[in-house]
Amino acid sequence: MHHISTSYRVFTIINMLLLAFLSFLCIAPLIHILAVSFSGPAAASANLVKMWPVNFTTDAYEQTFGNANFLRALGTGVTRTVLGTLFSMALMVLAAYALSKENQDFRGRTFYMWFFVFTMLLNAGLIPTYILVQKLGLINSLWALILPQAINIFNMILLLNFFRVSVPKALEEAAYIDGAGHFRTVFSIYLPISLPAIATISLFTMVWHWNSWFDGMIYMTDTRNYPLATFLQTIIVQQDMNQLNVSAEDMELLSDRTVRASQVFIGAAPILLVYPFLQRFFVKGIVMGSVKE
Amino acid sequence: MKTKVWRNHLLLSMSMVLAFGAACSNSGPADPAPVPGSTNNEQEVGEGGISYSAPFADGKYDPPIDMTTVAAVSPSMTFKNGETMENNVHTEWALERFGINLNYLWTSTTQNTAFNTRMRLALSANEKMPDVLAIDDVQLANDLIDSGKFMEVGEMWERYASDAYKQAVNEDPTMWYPFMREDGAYGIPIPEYSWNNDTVLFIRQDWLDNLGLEAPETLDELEAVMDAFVTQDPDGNGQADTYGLALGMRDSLKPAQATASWVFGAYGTIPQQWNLAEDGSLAYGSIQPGAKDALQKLNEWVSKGYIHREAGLHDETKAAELFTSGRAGIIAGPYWMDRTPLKDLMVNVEGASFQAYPVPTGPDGQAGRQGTLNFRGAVLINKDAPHPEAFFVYQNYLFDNFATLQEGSEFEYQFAEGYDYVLVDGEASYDTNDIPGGRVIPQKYTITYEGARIPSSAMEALGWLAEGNEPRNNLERYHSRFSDETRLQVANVNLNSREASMPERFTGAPTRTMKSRGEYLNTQELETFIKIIYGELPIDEFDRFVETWKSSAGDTITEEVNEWYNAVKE
Amino acid sequence: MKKKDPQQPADQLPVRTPVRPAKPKWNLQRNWPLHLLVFPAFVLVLIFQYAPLPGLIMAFQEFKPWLGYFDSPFIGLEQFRKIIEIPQARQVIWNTFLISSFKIVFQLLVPFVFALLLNEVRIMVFKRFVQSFVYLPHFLSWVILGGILIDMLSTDGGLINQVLTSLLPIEPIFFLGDGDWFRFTVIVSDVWKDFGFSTIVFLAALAGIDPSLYEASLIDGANRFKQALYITIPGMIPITIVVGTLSLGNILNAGFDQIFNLYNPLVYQKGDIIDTYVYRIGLLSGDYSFGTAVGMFKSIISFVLIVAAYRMAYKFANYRIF
Repeated sequence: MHHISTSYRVFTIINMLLLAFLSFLCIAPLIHILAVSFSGPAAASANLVKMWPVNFTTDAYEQTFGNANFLRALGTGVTRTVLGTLFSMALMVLAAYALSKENQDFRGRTFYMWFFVFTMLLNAGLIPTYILVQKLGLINSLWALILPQAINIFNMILLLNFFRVSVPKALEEAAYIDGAGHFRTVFSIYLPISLPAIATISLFTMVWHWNSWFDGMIYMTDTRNYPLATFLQTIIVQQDMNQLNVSAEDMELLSDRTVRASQVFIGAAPILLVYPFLQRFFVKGIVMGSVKE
Repeated sequence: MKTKVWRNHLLLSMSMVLAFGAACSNSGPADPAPVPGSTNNEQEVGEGGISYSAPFADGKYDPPIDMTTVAAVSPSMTFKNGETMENNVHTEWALERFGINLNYLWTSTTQNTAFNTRMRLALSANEKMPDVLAIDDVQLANDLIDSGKFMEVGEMWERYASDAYKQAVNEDPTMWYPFMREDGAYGIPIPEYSWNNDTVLFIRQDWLDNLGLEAPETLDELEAVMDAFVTQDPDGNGQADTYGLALGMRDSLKPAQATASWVFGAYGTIPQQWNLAEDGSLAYGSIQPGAKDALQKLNEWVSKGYIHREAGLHDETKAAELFTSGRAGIIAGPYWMDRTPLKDLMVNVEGASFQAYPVPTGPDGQAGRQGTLNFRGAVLINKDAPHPEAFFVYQNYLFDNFATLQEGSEFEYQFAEGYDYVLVDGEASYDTNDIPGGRVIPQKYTITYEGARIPSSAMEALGWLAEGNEPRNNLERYHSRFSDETRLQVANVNLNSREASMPERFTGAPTRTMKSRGEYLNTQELETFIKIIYGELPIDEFDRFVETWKSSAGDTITEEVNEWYNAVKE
Repeated sequence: MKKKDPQQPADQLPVRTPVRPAKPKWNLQRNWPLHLLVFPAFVLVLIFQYAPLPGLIMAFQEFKPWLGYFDSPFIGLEQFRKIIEIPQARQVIWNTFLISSFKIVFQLLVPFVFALLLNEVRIMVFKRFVQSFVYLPHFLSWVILGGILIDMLSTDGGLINQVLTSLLPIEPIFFLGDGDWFRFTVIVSDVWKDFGFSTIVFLAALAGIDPSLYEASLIDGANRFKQALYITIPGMIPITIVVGTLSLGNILNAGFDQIFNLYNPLVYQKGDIIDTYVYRIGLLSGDYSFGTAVGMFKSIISFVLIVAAYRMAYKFANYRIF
């Protein structure tokens, strides 16, 4: 490390202070919500909890974990996310590889590209899509949650751009001269070089799968098939202003804020745990330096 | 016109192909439905005049029949012992008791109106409709009726409903209104307890006592109390940090909790709903002269600091926070607020207490509060249901036995032992700690949301108990278990303000002009009103608003609403 | 050719291969496997995106679920006429456009700068913590955040106003009750919520930059500012163009959940957006036709913008994003 100037040192310090401050801004509300989730309901509902639990209790969590259907929903949620992500990534990586070629190298590419981009803009909407899934007999099947949104055009375009930017043409041509076919090129060159991009898009896909609840609601007719996000929706009691006549008992069961706060963590924890593992892929230029010649 | 004819033609041929037996017109079911159960497969005539469509003996179908339905799973439905909506103590009971095998085509949560969306999807995809269907959204119910897939039920109800069932519904014949068509009723209303959401005032009793004040009975007295609450440091902490009144006006002027509608009520109108005018017609509350006075009053209160500056940003929950954290002295809302959320006040503020009072009277001595409808939705029965009478077998039994917790019946204490109660030394206990695995409420699994309810029964039981009487029957015994002194005091106030209640009178589906222009009018109204209250617009803007309201479709809507009203009133 | 850095030899940046003499051979032998690779994605999109498209016909109908697509009355462009003719339409479209434009710009700028700053941090542990923390708010729903924001921004003891009034000689600001401040608040809080998540793409772009470029520049005597200027920033530009262009597809989506949970009658004038408006209409009319028509309207606008951006990226940056 040479050439470290004084001005750069000053910059480093200011930079780190700024980043630390931003981190604090991002985590403060979370600490607040965490504090609420461990507080007594009375204090929480009067908005008296700040950054530390008042009348500490774990009731809010016990209520969810104690639900017999929780574990099953968690299982479905994980299955759906893992399977859905693997499936999507496989298809998207292959397609993005092909589409990252130049027009002159892959005739028909322009057609495919506009074919895909068009769907990003025009969406058929809920009813036709539902009717389709129903006609395909996918109701109550895990595939109803995986197939319809498997190809995310936004992510695919990102992926193909990453491929173009990070995979050196020379390397690919060398492989071609060595007699490598397309599949081998994808697996031995594109994948290792583009790990940061793959990790990023996988993360996006995972987060999407993990958080979607509405498709679970409409495509699963049996409550036992709900993934976690859908299941959590069914146990948070909120008030519905449009009800003709709210029964008093319902209002008494209205879940307090503590339960809602705990759902944030129960719902997000698994996906938050994945992130640190993915972070390693964001380390600079993993393979590039060694293969580049 | 051409399209219309063509469409009708196609529909006609389609329904003929499907052998529905009845043709549909574009406005919904037109032909009087054939008398249900009178088709050729009736087996025998049982007691109560029900003609059964399958072998029926000793109160049950034998062999058991299938009845399809769908379920709106509200989050307040909890399950135990690994039970689910599809398979639980209630479904077992229906099979055991009546030989009715309840078959759920699908279930959906009520959250974010997911159930309604799911229902519309099923309708759009032309899915098989359930035999029996409970629906708590008037507009959706009307769409379902218009689909022509459900039968006229009024006649069957007359013939098959038990006396107890009839009495419950007859307490308020307007319950039928939303589900009426020219040729009869297409939905059986689901009665719900009355006066559930009617407004009472909750006032900090300790503050009144601290300052030596009397409870207010008129708006003027209320104003004096609020002034004292703001200026005289009622909580004695030496800081001017208290408010007179907590209001939540973000979404509406008449939310259930933290409502402002009673201020309008004191001037003879309830805003944002259709009230009964003196000439017997329906009139829109927000454009009445009384609304102007109320707005002026609210504006005065905001400028004097009686109301939080951000009341326009607050929803009901946010407004209730002000009260439960001990910063506001008065909040208006339904009687049940005494528990959720107001009981939290006593946890958060030492020595705090509140009492319920009737809403105050206005300058000419009258009070008015928003009211509650006596029903929660309706049951529709499929035209093609193989056993339409089975619903009555089921529902009659619940009204005969469960609605009153009939002594000697299986529902003597509540729905099922080990679920919502448990017998400890021969005494029923409803304590969740006594019940192995905790208390869950199976009546919520029933087709009609809460089993069976007689509108007046709950509040009258509470009223009876509030006067210090001993419970006379199981229902009152049940309520006495669940009611502390506060609850009884609040219920009593609620019951004694019955005359002031002004429920929404227009219960039909949104009219044609409402659909096209209603959103615009509503938004304009709320914006204008809140800005007047905040002093951003002068009070005279109200007159301009009324003019625009009337000229831009408001008058048409009034006509449509009264047309509907006159049609159903007959 | 991509924008070139004067200090770097051309072949070290991703560069379009110029037309080669070997082209015909390349094509014949290599094309069919490429079609095969796209095929599964093609089929899925064909089935799940294209097959339901005829359902859009309902935008031209007064759709009644029980009548279906074939029998619902056809009303032509009536729904579209409604979009243009309703009294507040112009205002609502303008609000949407304004709010989302700012969101798009800042949602691009802030993560970009943030990724750069993060890139300069040498302490790995610190870097990882920062990275994980800023990513968290993305997982909070606006239902919950709405309540927190109302408290923090309150004119009566809200944290932000307390800080502001103690530092500056001003009256408390009515952030959520004043139209202009409302827009400001909506944009800032949206960027705050999602910039950490959006940063990930840029970090991935950073990780894709060839380290040998930095080594070479060190030999040339470049300092860290120069490295950032000539290697890091150009390395991130392509992805920035891609993300920027694609986000134009959201030009008429200003964030329903956020606005819905924050707005109130005082700011209807300046804060109401298309989606909240359609939602309120839907509550009353319960029909999907109007919503579908609005969706199509938004699609057309987005389409025009994306194509324009695509052309511009090609023309000015010589970069073809798809």
